[in-house]
Amino acid sequence: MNRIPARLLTLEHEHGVTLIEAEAQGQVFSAMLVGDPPDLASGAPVTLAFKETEVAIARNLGGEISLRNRIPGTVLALEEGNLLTRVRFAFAGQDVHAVITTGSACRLALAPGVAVEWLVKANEMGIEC
Amino acid sequence: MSLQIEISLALPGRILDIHTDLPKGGCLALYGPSGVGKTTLLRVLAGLQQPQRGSVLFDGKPWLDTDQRLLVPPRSRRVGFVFQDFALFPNMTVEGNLAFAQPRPDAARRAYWLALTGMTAYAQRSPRELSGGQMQRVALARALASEPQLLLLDEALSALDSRLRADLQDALADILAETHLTTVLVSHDPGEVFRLATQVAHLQPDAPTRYGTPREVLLKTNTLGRYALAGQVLLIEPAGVQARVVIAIGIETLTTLLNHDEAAALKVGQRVSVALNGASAMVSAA
Repeated sequence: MNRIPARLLTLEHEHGVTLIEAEAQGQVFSAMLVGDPPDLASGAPVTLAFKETEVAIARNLGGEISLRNRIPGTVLALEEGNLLTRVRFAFAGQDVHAVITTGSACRLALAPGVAVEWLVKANEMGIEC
Repeated sequence: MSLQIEISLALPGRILDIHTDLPKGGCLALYGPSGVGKTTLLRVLAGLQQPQRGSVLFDGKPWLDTDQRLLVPPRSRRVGFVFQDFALFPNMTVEGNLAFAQPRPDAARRAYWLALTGMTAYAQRSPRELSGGQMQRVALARALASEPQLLLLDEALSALDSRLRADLQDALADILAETHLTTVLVSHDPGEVFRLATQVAHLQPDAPTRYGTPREVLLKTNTLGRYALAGQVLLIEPAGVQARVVIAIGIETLTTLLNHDEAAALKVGQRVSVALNGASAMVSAA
């Protein structure tokens, strides 16, 4: 699980769905939650939580994309398995991990030092408080 | 008949405090993992055990008050108790079990309870001839036949398979709605609590008891929008750069991938909370 300290910016709720925006190191993250709205005020400290398997990686991404969490980064290290590969980035002074297929890691020619974007769907972004 | 509970109970290594008011016809779920004191509390309500201190008021009348050294004996409380292991009398017929429990013989009322629990056709059978689900229906009918003021259900459905349990939950929900019986049930099954309870006391081994409606208690986790299910780790094994972890949730199992550090922090047999992303849950008819 990746965990990033952040601060709540906005919170919108409608029909049992809550959309939260939170800021960490100047980057705005979005989380879509199903359930009652949390009792949190703007500025409240929260933790962004998302699984490694929910992180996608892109190189030279062009055009528009619906994913709201799109963060530039540089690959620090890779741990290759037969099927899956763990990719490590740095963000806000801590490690962020992605687990993608080894086939995709090869196709993107990922290696330490390569500039990429890592992406997480708002639906897969959790908020701990 | 309302129920007011103010109890401090000494358990191994800790004190369990519980205080709650249950209105007439309400159903309180004592919810939590094994060993937190749920059944002990039920036994206190039945008068089978005394707490270190506290009071129990039923319909405004004291059943227990340790300060006043007052203890109403179990037989005077008119409590219907349904146990996990049925506890039927094997030498009596189904109807005989009900007749034994009745405060006075009343064939019409026996027929009513048998009909309400769907057991009319089995009235003359021996409990030995019944399935688990049928025996549990008889146990419920017998508890109801005792004309209780308060119904206590101790993991009454937990020995049954998931389909039968769901059927009996539906039947029990209908019975509680029909009888307006004030009820306290012990369960570690969140589905059962959600289906039957109007109030929940969530007993936790290392945290204060949480109170609220099933929605307030069960749908609130520290990770917003994620729904926590109580589980137990069955298996941890390497799966390449990740670890495969199998968790039992009720009688079902769930397999997930965790990183090696997270997996290393777990032990087989450990009780865990599994957070599911509500929007990502895929649902289909069983």
